[in-house]
Amino acid sequence: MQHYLMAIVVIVVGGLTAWFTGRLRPLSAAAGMVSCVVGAVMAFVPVVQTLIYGIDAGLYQLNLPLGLATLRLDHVSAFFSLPVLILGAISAVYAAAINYHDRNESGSYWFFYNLLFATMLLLVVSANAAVFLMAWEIMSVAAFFLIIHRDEIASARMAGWRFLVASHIGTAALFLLFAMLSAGSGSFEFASFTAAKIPSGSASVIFFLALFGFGVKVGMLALHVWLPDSYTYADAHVSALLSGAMSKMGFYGLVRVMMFLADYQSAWGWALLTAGLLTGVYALIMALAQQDMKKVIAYSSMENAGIILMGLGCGVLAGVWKQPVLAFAAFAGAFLHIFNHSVCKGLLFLGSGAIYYGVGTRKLELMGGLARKMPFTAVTFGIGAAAIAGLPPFNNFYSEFMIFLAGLQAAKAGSAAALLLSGTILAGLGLIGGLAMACFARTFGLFFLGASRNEKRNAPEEVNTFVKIPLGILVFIIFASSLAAPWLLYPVGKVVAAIGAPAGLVFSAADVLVVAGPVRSIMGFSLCLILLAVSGWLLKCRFFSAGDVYGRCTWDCGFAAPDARIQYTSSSFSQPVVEVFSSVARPFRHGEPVSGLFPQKASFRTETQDSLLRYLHFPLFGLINRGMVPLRKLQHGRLHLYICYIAIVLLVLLLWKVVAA
Amino acid sequence: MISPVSMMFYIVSLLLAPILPGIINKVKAFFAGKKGPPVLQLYFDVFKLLRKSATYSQTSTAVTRLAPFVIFFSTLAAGLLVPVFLRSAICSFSGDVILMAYLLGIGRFFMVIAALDRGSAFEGMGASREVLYSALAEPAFFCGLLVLVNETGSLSVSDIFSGLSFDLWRQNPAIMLLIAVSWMIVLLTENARIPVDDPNTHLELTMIHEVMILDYSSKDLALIEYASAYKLWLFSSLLSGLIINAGDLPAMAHVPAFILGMLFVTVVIGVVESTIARLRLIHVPKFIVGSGALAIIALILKIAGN
Repeated sequence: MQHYLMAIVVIVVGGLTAWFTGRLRPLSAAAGMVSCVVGAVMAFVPVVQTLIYGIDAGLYQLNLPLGLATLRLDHVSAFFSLPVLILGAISAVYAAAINYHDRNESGSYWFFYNLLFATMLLLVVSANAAVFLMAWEIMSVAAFFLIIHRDEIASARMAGWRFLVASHIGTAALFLLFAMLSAGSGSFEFASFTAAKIPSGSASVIFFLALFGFGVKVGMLALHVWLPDSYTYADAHVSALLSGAMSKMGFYGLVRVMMFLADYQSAWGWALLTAGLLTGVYALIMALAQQDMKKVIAYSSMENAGIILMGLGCGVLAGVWKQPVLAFAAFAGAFLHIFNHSVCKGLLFLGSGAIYYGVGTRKLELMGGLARKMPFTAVTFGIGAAAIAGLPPFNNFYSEFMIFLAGLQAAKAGSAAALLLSGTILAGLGLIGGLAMACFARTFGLFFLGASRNEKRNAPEEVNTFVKIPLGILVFIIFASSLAAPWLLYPVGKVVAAIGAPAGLVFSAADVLVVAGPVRSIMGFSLCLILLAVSGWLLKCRFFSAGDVYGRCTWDCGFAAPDARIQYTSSSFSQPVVEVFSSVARPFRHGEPVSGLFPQKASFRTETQDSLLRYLHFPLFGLINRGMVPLRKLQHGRLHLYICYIAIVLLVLLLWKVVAA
Repeated sequence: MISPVSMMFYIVSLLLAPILPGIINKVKAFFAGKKGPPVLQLYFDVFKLLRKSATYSQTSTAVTRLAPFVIFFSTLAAGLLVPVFLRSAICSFSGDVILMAYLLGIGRFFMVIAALDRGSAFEGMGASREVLYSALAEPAFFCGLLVLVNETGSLSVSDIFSGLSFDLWRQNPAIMLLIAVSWMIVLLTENARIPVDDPNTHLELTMIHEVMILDYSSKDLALIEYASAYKLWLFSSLLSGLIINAGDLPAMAHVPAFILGMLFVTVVIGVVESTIARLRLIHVPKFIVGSGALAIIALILKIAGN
């Protein structure tokens, strides 16, 4: 625990140093980067000890001027700090290497980055509502400053504001939530929340407040509208940290609150399941309709949040029905997916930064043919894309498979509700999987394959070696966690046990084996498949390629002058999907149609705005804005009247105190 | 442990798979009043292609060259999980059917990115249709499956199929028929048959599967053609296993019964292809979603029955 706290201090001090040495850019970047890496390594030791050896250091009390801060590093905290540590360190190395802090105040940029990193580490170990909320608030504010770093772009400022408003609406729910919890238990300590017996009615209110408050961070449907823009306009390494680590803090909070509420109710499970399903499908439809590469990846974060929510929902329902096997498969799948998604999404966002570095644009319509110019980025991004699409040799498939397996277990259980659950999971995940495959085949294929569509910049540059290192490490982690999936179940199993314990779920070794057995078989399959496909290819290249002809023209139906513009574009690729789901994604169409006998000029362009933003949030917030107009009279800018307000408030408080006494 | 008999049947099914398209073509030729190509035509095609040397497009990268192998081996690996000749598959474990679907998914992913690799307008078009139709077909397949899981209480596809019996057809004819029809539609979709896709069309604009492999030649094309035939074999054996159940028959009758079942499925495909016109592209999604609806009705009947 001491190491962990020292790591937090090191990261904050590094951030401050970077700020004060902002004028000396190399020094400032070095201070920021080195402190992140050193801090991550320092904190990694106790985290791994907790996860693997099960060492629980117990409560750690820190005597601060404002009061006692209680901290605790248990299994759940250790598990959720893993993505933070991995992505915090790797993104810092990447940021220093790709060197796009080309502006003067790079010092403050590093400060907020380190602050975000440190507060997330603090958040997962806080065992006191006040510390938790403070860390939560600092985290959101630091993220806000990182998002609006490119504040010369109006959309980046807008994205930042949306993020700030959304996270404060969420935080308001959290204040209410913790107020209710502490009213029930008489203390702000997490330990007392667990001990207090909360009546089922207020437990439901608390759960749904948590789902709302933390749902904002994970990007649950209808609370997600800040997410695509924020991830898009932040720099690549910031997006990686936001999507890979900060959004996972939402899941951490949700899980922590579920641990306080011992008796699950089936309504919670159904709510999580429905929210997850809708989030996943909606996000993929929107992702397929986007033409900005980072928006596609951002929507895919939301999709994976949907999968995780479905896993959690299934686990909660299994908890209600007291079915440990089902609960284990669902929870283990959800938790493993949290980790796997973090790593893959980090890789994809960092890869998108590398592409931006090489091509200078984020528009999918201008991509193409990058694989020849940027082979390293192509291979790493391809692995990330295949992994996030949930294809078998890679880690995301294992976690999705566990949730699928939970669905099949539910079908076996047999009751009508279980069949409904199973149908939702199998059909939902099947559809999500198919659409995710479509989305990432499109993304990878249009970035890296075919011929370049960018006429202005035909010679993209490959990133340098220092940028390759973080990308390579993430690919290594993906491979390692794919190969180690059967063994990863044991540390994850401890986390699941910690969550199941308050709800009365006890998992036996046989329950773990029900999941571990198939996972082991899948690993065997995957290894053989990789081996066979690659060796078959090499054999063919070596022995059976005599007389092969390269460099011929692609078949084009006899058209004599093929051109890069003849290729299918990203919007034409996704047009059939968008058309099928046109009631959800409603693209704006611009352009002049072809007309006359000898048409000269025609153009066509579509863009798709987030449908909920357009049809729900804009009207709703417009209404709120109009309702608030009368209150603007209070904001007149006259200082003496403001002082008068303060005096009035103090007087009212005094009267209240006197009357109450 | 891998049983030698299952291994033998797996190899037999690998050898027999290219016959299916031949039988379908014979049925179609019968309806058209023609003689039609020989039943073994695909064998001849594959052997001819294996002797030729390949031509690659200038825009293609390693993806184009690696893809045939991934498609071939992932389809073969999926075959390890599917019971053939009314016997357990070589490998079986809980949830193996999910792995089977995703192994076919890897093949599809590579076929799609290989199509985008050549930078052709036609191939991109086929890829874009393929990903949509397969995404829509997946839920239908899984919904039907989970009804069977519920009926038999088993989680692996071999156990599910050995647990099926004619009693289920007698007790719940509606449910079983709905699943069979819905899986038939999934089969037609996944294997690019009429009314979703026409394997014999001549116009690139209207193709789906064929257009994605336009630029392949020689050994690569042979691998892909064989993999497609084997994929048809896998879906047909799932469907015939659903119709003809091992539990009702003596062990001696398993092989002939399975062959009859496969013949029945292929003849049905041939009849469908001969009697139904190909759907317009905008109607195809409705057709596939319809199969999902049938599977969901089966699920609802099952829920109501419990």
